Amino acid sequence: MKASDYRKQYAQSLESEPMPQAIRQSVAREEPATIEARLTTLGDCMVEADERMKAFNDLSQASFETVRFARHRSRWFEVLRGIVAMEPETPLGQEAIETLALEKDDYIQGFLADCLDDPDCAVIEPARALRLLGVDDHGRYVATAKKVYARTDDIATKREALRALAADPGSKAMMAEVYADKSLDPDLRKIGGMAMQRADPLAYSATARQIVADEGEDDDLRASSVAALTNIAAALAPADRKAVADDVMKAMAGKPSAALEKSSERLMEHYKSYE
Amino acid sequence: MPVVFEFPRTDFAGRLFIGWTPIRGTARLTDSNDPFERREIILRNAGWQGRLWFADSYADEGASELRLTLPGDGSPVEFWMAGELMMASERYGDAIIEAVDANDFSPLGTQSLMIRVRKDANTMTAFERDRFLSTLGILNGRGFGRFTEIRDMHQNYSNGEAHGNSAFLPWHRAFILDLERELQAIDAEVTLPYWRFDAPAPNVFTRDFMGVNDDVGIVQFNPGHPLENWVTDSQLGILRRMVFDPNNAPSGPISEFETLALGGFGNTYRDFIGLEGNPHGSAHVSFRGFLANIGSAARDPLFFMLHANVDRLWAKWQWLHARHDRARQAAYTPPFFGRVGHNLDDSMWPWNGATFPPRPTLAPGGALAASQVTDLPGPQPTVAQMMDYANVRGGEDLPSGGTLGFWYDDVPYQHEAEDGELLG
Ligand SMILES: [Cu+2]
Repeated sequence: MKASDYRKQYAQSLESEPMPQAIRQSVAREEPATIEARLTTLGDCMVEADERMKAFNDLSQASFETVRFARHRSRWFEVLRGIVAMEPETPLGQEAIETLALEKDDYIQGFLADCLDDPDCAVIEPARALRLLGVDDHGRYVATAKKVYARTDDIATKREALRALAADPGSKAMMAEVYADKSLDPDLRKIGGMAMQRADPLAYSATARQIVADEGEDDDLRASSVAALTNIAAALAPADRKAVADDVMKAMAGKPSAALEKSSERLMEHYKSYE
Repeated sequence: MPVVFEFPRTDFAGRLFIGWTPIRGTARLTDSNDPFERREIILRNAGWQGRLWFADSYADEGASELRLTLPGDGSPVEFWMAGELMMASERYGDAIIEAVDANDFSPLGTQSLMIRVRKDANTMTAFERDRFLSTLGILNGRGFGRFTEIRDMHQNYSNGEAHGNSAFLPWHRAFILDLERELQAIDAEVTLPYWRFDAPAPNVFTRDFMGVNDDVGIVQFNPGHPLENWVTDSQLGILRRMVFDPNNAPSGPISEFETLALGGFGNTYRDFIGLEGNPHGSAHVSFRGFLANIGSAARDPLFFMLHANVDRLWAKWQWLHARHDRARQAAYTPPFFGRVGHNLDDSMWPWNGATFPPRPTLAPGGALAASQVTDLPGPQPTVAQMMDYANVRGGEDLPSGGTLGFWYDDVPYQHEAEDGELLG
């Protein structure tokens, strides 16, 4: 297509659009007073839930324009903390928890940790609480995560407890054990593997090779391990890559699942670039 | 083959990558014994995917064939060519220039190439998608190295450089170009796709592509997916929860047409930059998790596809209203108080390494990644250098390397003259 023809066509479709009288202005383009008014709406539990949710959505968009929003930021957090304190289990409360957690807000981290410490706390599902606590990578909530991991049988919760432990250097050995343990759920082992490939790629490659070469292993875990071995290739020595490639070839010669086959082909393709 | 082509710029392996900007090539005869011979040849397309247009002098469009007369003394004859809009490549070599004898159509020479442009993530082929994902997975590796630096550039402490001010668009153009060049250093045939947040993108939010979140808000992929083990610092996986139906567009972001009208009656940059709030911010907060927070947004690889679309909207606005010229106020408006980093000739942090106030105290990542296809914008890009990314104002006087080496599949090249008039 010629550029000039495309221009004509594009101009035509522009004209056929209803005039964008509707250049909808974002809230951040409005006066600071509007933002303050919305903060008031958001914090007012006498106002309809829908209207408050609308205020929340407008404000979270405005908050993304950080420079303009700077002067409202502390009040925004205050209002959100107030919502968490008063009505944590409502949809708005859950949004407030999530927004504050992403800010690594101290209040919300304490709130989530307290909830996890209390087996009867029903304000937020433990798996989500762990995930949101895990956003902080200082590993301050290692003890809580360990406790929940031991306490629960729920795979999603266990999985998120493990994920939160990735920030803890002291959990390295545990991650390696989880990844290698055939008796555990593959979803948990994947998390162990993810942590291990990051912390110790060489040790990871040794375990991963065994998993990949073992036809009795879970095919999805094998495929996932091959994907990781591809991505971390640069962290392995030539001899290690050779050993990995040999085991992946063996896996391909067996009866690989479609996923395992696809990720194995990708690995072989990428490893060729090191030759 | 008796006809040999030459082009000003190929990569280290002799491969030719082009886009919509016309480049000058030459063809010459190598087998003539008669210096006074005049051999008529035709240049034409022989590829199966990428298509080119040709012209005998600089132009911004041409025909799918071109007749040339090559002298027997072997001196080169000039021609111009570019990719044909909507006919970009999927991979290297699917576009081919063929020279044939004008009388009997016998083949005289060929040149393989790739018309390499950024594409709509929702409609790109599975082959393109998988290649992009694979390269991204390798770039991030085990969560250390170059991608980590790129993430660290987009932080709360760099807000004054990247957000809430005039250079929001130029800064992010350089930012995603840096990433794309790192991807291309791993696989030269990859480009950064864009996610159109004003249209349904059901093919993007699948377990094959950018993943689907579970109840906890963790993105799930198919087993063996290149991003399945995505790690950033101690964050295992991607925290993202969609608050819209993947079969529809999110409800917040304004449409492309509305965005292109943001500049108001004068189509001014000063008003157009309002897109930072909506659709840009609105697209970000169509998700919960990493994307909804400036400090963590770049941990989610979808960030770069979102920003490719923001950049595409700027490119499209520039094309629609002829807004590539740094000398025109309407094309770029520096801030009133001229904060450093936002004036036309300011170099941009962090690529310039500046760490004195008001710049942040650290500058992660070093220089902008180099490209095999162009020397621009150099290691320390300025604001102004981001404007005419496709060299639409250069015309024939500037070397064909005068682009930043990227194009969008639906943003054409049209020459923009001094007065903002178009050539055609
Ligand atoms: Cu953004």
